[in-house]
Amino acid sequence: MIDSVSNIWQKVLQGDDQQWSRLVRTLAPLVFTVARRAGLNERDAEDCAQQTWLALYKGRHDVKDPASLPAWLIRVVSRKAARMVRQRARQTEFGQEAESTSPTLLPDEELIRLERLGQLELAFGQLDERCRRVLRAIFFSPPELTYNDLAQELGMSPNSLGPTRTRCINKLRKILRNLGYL
Amino acid sequence: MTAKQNSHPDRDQMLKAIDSGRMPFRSHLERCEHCRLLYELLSCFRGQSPASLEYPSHRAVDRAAVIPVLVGPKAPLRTEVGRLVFDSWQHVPAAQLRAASRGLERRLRFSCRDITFEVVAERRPDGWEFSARVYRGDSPSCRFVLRAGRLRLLCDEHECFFWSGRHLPQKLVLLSSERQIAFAVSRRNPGGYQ
Repeated sequence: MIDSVSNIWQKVLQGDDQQWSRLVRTLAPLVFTVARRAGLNERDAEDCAQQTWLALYKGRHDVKDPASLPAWLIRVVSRKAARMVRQRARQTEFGQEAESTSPTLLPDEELIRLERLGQLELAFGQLDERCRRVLRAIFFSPPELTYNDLAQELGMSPNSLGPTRTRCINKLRKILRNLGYL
Repeated sequence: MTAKQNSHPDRDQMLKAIDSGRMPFRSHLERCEHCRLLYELLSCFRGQSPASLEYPSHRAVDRAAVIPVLVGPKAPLRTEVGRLVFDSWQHVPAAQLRAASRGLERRLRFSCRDITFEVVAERRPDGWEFSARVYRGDSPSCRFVLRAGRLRLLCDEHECFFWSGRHLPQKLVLLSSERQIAFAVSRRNPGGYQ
């Protein structure tokens, strides 16, 4: 059964640690990506992400609307990453070793794009494996691939791909509505 | 994806329509809910892909997943008890070697069902330094918080727990959201080390 983010978040607020873990596993790529795009190396980006998750957990009762979670995370990790990049830049000035690159803040358009990606990831994370595979193939594979190619790649008969696609799209649409994406 | 015999626009035609801003099949979309849905979603996803996201290491994700165990009051879980399977201090070396090592290091290995837990204690002038690691599949250390006395520890980037203290701990506990495993550190000391 597909569990909505609202349900997951409600369970987190009630102290269900396993739902917290589920949420982290779904949104971890988004948080990490923002930290990396801000110019942090992998290790610093992981530390920055860890601080962000910690901040979310400590302030979890202040996040009322689960649909705003990706936006909240992006805002916080972006600020923390910018601070970390500045610190690394200062360390470089004083001759210490630093691997970080340009200390620029991410532009708003990039943050919005990442937020949409995060919601998409969240939605895909709530689909069953079969639907995830089918929809990724439908939406993101090269346009020149035929239905037969896609069906073969997915290990399905071409006749069953259409109905499966319809069923999965309906599920995805419902999830995206829940998230406020549509 | 090729166009079908009927008038349903295929994915390629929809993508072209989205890019150009012109929609020759508008009336079809008004009639066909399926195509309308597909068009709506393709419009949302155009130019985006989950593949644009970067993925952190398993270790980093595991560390974030155990945050409630690290900072929150833990709901009571049944405690599993690990057993000691190796203690370097219980293997008494020859007297001369014993004198040379003076118990500067103690190695412990515990086991509990699928978990193997190793601890190395090294003596320092002002106490002990400890390192510990859990073995089992992918980044298992990072799926736990280690409780050593009042300390609650997360694994580091090498998937090890590091801490220091004045004495050897009498009990170590591995905590996750599902499990709590206690390991008692034996006080037996056949080597007579101090």
